[in-house]
Order: sequence, then structure tokens, then C-alpha cells
Amino acid sequence: MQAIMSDLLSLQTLLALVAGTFGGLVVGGLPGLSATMGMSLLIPITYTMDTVPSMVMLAAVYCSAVYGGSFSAILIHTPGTPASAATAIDGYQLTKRGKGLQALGVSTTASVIGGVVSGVALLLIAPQLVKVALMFSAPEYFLIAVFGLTIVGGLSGNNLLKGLVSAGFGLIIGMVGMNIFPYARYSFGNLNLQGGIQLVPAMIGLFSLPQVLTLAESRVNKKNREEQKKIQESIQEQIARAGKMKGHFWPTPAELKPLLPTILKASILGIGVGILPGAGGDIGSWVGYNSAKNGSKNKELFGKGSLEGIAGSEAGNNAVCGGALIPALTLGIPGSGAAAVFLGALTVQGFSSGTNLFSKYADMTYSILVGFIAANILMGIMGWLLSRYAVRFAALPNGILIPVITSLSVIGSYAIRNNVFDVYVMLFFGVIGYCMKKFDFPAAPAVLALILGPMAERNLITSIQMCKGSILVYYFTRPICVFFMILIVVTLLAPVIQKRRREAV
Amino acid sequence: MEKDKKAYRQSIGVSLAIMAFAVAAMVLSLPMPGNAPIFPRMAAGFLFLCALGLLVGTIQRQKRGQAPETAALEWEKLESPLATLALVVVYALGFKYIGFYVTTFVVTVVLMLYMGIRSMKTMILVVVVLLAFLYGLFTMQLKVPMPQGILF
Repeated sequence: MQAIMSDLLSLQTLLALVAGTFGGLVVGGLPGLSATMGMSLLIPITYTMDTVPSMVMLAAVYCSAVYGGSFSAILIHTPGTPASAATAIDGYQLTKRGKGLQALGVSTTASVIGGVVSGVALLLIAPQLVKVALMFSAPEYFLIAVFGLTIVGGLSGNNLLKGLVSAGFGLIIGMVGMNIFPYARYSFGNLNLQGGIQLVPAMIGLFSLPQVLTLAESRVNKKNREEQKKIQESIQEQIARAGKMKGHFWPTPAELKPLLPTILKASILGIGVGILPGAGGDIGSWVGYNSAKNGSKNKELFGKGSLEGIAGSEAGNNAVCGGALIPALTLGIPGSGAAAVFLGALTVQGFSSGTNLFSKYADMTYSILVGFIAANILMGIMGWLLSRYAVRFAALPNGILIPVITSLSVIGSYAIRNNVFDVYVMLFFGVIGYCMKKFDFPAAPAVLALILGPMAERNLITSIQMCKGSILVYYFTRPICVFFMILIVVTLLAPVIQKRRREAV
Repeated sequence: MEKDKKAYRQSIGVSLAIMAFAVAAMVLSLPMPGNAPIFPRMAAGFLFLCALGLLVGTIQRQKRGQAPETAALEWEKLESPLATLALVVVYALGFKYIGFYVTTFVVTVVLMLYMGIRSMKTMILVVVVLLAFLYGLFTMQLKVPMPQGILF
């Protein structure tokens, strides 16, 4: 306990906590930017920091960005992140009626409670799940990785096949170099490729550069001048209105009491959604919103300014953050794209998920988990202080955002190994990521495959060496393997069956 | 209708490109020794089948007269992103030879001008704050040896 507190209360950790929380609020509040992008850009900075401050900073960015998206969702009807899409429905209606501050207060309270509950769940569940993981061997880990890839391919986006294609692409890219065999696969004789594709420049490329190119689409030209002028004027009007908000921020006990059951239910559902690989804050937000609506006695208010709707959505999306870290830290399967970046950062620090994190490095791990809970509380305080001003970030011109994100992407990719080749990798993945965005291929499965692919291959090769006969018979004689194989088949077939049923109706 | 046809053509093109990538990955795995090609071949086969499924699904959708899943890419809308990408490529290629901070300064100003920022005050503020932040964090704090090139 003493070691945990001394790690947490060190100056470096406290500064990292504050910087990460503030940075996350800014990233989340800016429409178009995401927690995943912010975290990817931060990894190079955390590379030379100690492990606890760096991981606490990333965790703070993660949960704050998800919450920060609610500012612009409520005040200007533009979700700052996809996880706040459900909040925008009722939040903006309240702003139009002059109750924006109240909506922000409920959103903040629900986000803090959702985040803290998920942090506590992470503290309690993760050590138990690690004990279950002790029963797993190479065959089970191979199938867990495959299951993670199939479910992430199915849940990220509208089209299962596009998600799986993205995962397949990530698998092949993950095999470049000599990372598993003493043979440089797909290196084309290039010395830099023999070491494999570095995860961090690939992540920066897939998440940040496409965002820069998307922001560039809003450049004013002769054809869209009038349309862009109207958009800017509308944003300025909404910001001016937000600046004149009156009322109280924090909900009174009488206002909070009827919302508590909604918040707690959405939090528990959000944790469950977070545990599912690939189901991120956006799904958690809708699950929370729908659970609030289904359990409400005032369903007619939903869509017109329901505080319950905001509470359910925000508790759900912030609870996903802790939930997503549970399978990430115990089994190495990230529960969301942001959790994948978190896991990537842990790898950069020299640690891998699993039993060691909760035994040999338990002090470090628990410091990070308690830091995650502290970040959720700090984000509530910062949100309260910054709420009236946060919406101004949404008015930041793309002409400023683009060079800032570009320079951070370039220097961030370079700083990992002081190697210009990593910048070229970032560029390559940036172009691929933009093409994926334009054709609706989700990027998150590719990143997860980059992480899970080598894990799957290592364990497959070990299984082949362990089986001493038919690999299929070996897998079918292991009950946990059979369970995962059934899960994989169900995951792949369920969307197809559902689609056929919908078409039949 | 024309837009739909264009969207379908582009979707089919993308599926074919992915299938070609998968075939290339498979062919490049042929000389790999021992157990090295097992997973690449599994992944390439998996990717090929998924892309084939996408292709078949797209063609079936087109035959049924349904609207395409993805809207057609209009080249005129890509003008700004492609120009920005060109600048980013020049940045990435140039900073090694010209020096990181000089290149960052030039690219930042060009990007702001390109995106319509005309206020001198804004441009100066952004450039100063950005360069100071990058210098303070990466050079002074993290001691990353930045490429200096022929200038600074």
C-alpha cells in the first residue's frame, strides 16, 4: 500500500495526471478528435517517462476524452467523440431551453460515477480473471486471440466483412520482420523492415493522419464558401449562447436521487460492453441511453431533453473505459481501440499483460489502476471549472488544428527510435487509414490485429509443437478450446443470421 | 444513378485491390522456410476470402438495384486532402535534410495559409507556441536528437 501511494503521490505522476486529464478534456471537446488519436500521439512522449506516470497519463486522457466529448455534444449539438452521440440528442435540447449548465452537471456526475465504478470493477475483477488465465496454455491463448479478432471485426462498424478485412490486413502487417522466426518475412531486403513494423508509428498513422486529411476537407473554396460560412456562424452563435448559461452546475441531492439507479445500471452495462473486445464507448453510450429509456417512467421526454438520457449515456460510455482495460491487462485482448493503444504503450514500456502484472509488478499495476480512479474524479472537478469555456475549443479553426496534429504526428513517430523510417511508416499507414475511412473500413481491428496477430502466431506455433500429432484433434480434446471455437463460430454466424432474419421480415 | 454506378465501381475496385494484396502476400510466403509461412498463408487466405465475400456482396447488391453501402468518392472533394497530404510528405521527407524546426515552421505557416488563416497575429502565436512546445518537450526535456539538416 505504501509503495502504491508513494508512486501515485510522486510529482511526476501528479503532473502527468493533471496534464493527461486536461489534455483529454481538450481532445474530447474538439469534434473530430478522439481519445484513441490523443493517446497515440502521447505515447512517444511517455516513452522516456517512468511507467506509472506514463500509464496514468494515458488512462487520464482516455477517460477524460470520453467525458470531454459531452461538452460540445450538449452545447453545440456536435459530439466531441463518437461516444457522446447519444448525449447530443437530449443534451442540446436542454441547452436550447437554457438548461445547458444543468445538463453538463448531470453529464459530469454520471461520467465520474461511471468511471469510478468501472475503476473499482477493474481493481476487483482483473486479479480474479488473471487466476482463470492461469488455466490457459498456448492453444487457449491462440483461440482467445482469434476470438478477439473475430469479435472486434464484427463490432467495429456496420459491415462484418469490412471489419474482418481490416483485421486480416493488420495480421499480415504484424508478420513483417523477424519478430518470431529468424527469417525476415516481407522485408524486401530493407534493414528497417527486418525489425518489423513499429506499433506506435502505425497507430499514429492510422488514427491521426486520416483525421488531419478529413479536417482538410473543410477547406473553404469557391464551391463550399457559403456552406462553411453558415457552419462557422452557427458555431459562433452557439458558443455565444453557451457563454450566457445560467443556473447551477452540480445536481442537487433531490435531482440526483432519481438518476442514481439509471447511472448505476448504465455503469454496470458499460463495464460489460467494455469487456467485449472491440465494443467501445460509442456502443456503451447507446446501451446506457437505451437502458435509461427502457427503465424510465418518462419515456416521452427522451429526445426532448431528458436528464435520464444524458445520465445513462454518459455513465455507460465512461464505464466502458475501465471495462475495456480488464481483458487488456489480464488476457492481452484490448476491449476497445483506446485500450489497444494503452496496451501498446505498456509494451513500449517493456511490460506485457497477464499474471506478472498482478504478481511480480503488482505495486506498479495497482498504482496505475488507482491512478485511473483518481483521473475520473479529477476530470469531474476540471469539467466543473472549465465547462463554460470548454466549448470555445470547438471553435478552434481547422487551420490551427491541422499543423499542430501533423507536427505532433511527425515528431512523435520519429522520437520512438530516432529513426526517420518510422515517419515513413506513419505516412504509409496514414494514407491507408484515410482510404479505409473513405470506404468505411474501421481502423481499430487493424490495430488490434497488429497486437493480437503475433500473440496468435506464437501460440499457434507452440501448439503445433505441443500436439505431437493432429493439431485439430489436440484442440478438440481441450474443453476450453472447444468453448472458444463455438464462441468464434457463433460470433461469425450471428450477424449473418440476424441479417437474413431482417431481410425475411 | 451515375453516382451509384461510380460507387459500385469503386467498391468493386477496392475489393479486387485487397484480393490482389492477399495473393501477393501468399506468393511472397512461398520461399519462407520451416513454419514461417504457416500464419502468413492462413492470414492471406482469410483476407482473400473476406475480400471475395465483399466483392460478391457488392455485385449482388448492385444486381438487386439497392443503394451502395458507401457513397462514391468525388475527386473534387479530395483536392484539399491530397494537397495537405503532399505538404505532409514534403515535411516528412524534408525535415531530415533541412532540419526539423525550420521545416516545421515553414509547413505550419503554409498549412495555415492554405486552410484560410490570414490573421498575422494568429499565425505568429501558433508558430511560436507550437515550436516552443516541441522544443521544450522533445529537445530539452526528452533530449530527442532532432535532425538538424543544413540549417537549424
